[in-house]
Amino acid sequence: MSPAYSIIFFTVFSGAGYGLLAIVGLTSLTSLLPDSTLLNLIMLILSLLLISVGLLFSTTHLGHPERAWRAMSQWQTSWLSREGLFALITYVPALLLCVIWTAMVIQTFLPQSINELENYVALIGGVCGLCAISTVFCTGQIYASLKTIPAWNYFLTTPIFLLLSIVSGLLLWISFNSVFTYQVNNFVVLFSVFMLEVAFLLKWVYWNFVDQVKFSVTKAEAIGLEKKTKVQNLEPAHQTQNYLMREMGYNVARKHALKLRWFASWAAFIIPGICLLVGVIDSSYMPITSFIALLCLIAGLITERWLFFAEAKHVITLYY
Amino acid sequence: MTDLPSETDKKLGLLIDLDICVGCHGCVTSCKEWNSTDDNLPLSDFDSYGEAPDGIFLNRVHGYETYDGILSQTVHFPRSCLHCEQPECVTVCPTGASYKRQEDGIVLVNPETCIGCKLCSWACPYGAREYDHRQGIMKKCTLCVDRIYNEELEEEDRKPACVLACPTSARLFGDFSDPQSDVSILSEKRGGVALMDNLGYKPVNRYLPPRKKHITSEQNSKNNANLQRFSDLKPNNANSKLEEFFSWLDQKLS
Repeated sequence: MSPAYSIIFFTVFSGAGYGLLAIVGLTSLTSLLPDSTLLNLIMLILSLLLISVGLLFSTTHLGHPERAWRAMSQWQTSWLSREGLFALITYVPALLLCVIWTAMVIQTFLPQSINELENYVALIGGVCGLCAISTVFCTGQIYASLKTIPAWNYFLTTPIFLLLSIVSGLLLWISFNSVFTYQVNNFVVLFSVFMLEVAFLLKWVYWNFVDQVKFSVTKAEAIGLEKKTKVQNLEPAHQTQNYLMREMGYNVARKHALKLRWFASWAAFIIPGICLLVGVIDSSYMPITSFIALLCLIAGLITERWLFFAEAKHVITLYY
Repeated sequence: MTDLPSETDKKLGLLIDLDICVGCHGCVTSCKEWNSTDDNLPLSDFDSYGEAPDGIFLNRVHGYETYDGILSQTVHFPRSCLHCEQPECVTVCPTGASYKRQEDGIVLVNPETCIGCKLCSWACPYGAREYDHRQGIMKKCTLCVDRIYNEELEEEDRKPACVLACPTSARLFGDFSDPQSDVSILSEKRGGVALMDNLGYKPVNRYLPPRKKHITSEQNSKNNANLQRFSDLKPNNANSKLEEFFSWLDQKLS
């Protein structure tokens, strides 16, 4: 499949945004929520910015972005529609939380009602987190549900999307906390390293699967002949590349892909893991190491996402 | 709506005979012509007279060489929308621009509401959908829905353009839900194939595989002997003086 930059940036940036939103939302249910409401507000706004920028990237993929609102209508059958709907719904609790925390930050203006509002933070935060996770789940399902692309139609596709989104969110959360408060709960950091390496493991299992996956049909069956008939191209249907070949016939050289897998492994999973552990050992390094970890992760995830598309083969390539 | 009808009243589709298709691309060009004129949005062309001309077609014909262990032959394979009973191109559509008609099972795209997300083309295993990046919408075979019900045309012309254009009658149009229709009877008789059936899209269109032309080794050697004899033959008046003169004259004059 052709690796479209609009979709790569959308899934990486919005994925990180939804991850951070999920962490910010879900921590409000626990004692892990940072004491500083200002910090929570900043992280919330950052997550919404990442989400919005990513969503804007995704609309550049459309032929008619001005009709994008129509994409909310077919949620009964379409994962893409469900994704759009959840993306929109998520804004409601997120913006509500934004308003509450802003009010709490500038509490001089609303002295009486603060305490009442604070009671709702956990509830709204929880809803926010669930909506964010649901959106990423739908994103994964868009790909995982396509029977035409066996590399995607795999039980790990959606879990990996979810894990990578959560991990990006955790790293953003750790970076911001360490920069603003100079102290991050070691439990959260170790949990993040654990999640990161689980994601790494699943990604290797996925890559191993991609190397072995075959179409469930042969070229002969694709043109209506018996399974074992040998078929080779004689006369092409057209002399130059067409939409189908550009969109679905993208081919990345194996040698090239392996190099990129190594880069993605180091950048997204190994270096960030080491950086975070260094931060645990000596917390004075955490603001720097967590920031390096974050930058590496983003670079690694962009590569990983590029490979996700470039290595996936569509069944129509049998005709070409 | 992208909800699929549980059962369509008719199952209109094409029966394509791979045994007699000669790969002339007549169906390809007539399809493009009909679907680019009149009330239809044109099927865009790009760089028509340049280095790499490209364009949108709703029908493509591939040529393959096949070998089943005994005989090798050329198979021409026309590829277009199969108007599936379980078209995932429809169910993945986020806007409802793609839909399957209850009355005849034809799968269509509404050009007014398509947002050009291209997901339907990813979901189709047959490469039936092509994205028109000039108009920003997806294009696909309509089974010439504007021909087959068109009362301004003579009754015999109310068929898809590709079917009318085919010089060898390798394409038949009809209702597969009616067991008495020509397409159903012929498909039954010749073992019509639903392409890549195991993917579960339940295509309506059927392909008739090439007839078995297997020959025994005895026949094969006889054929080879005949071919040898044929190549040994010389034209009857190869040595005639008159023939040589005409040959000389022909060379001088040409």
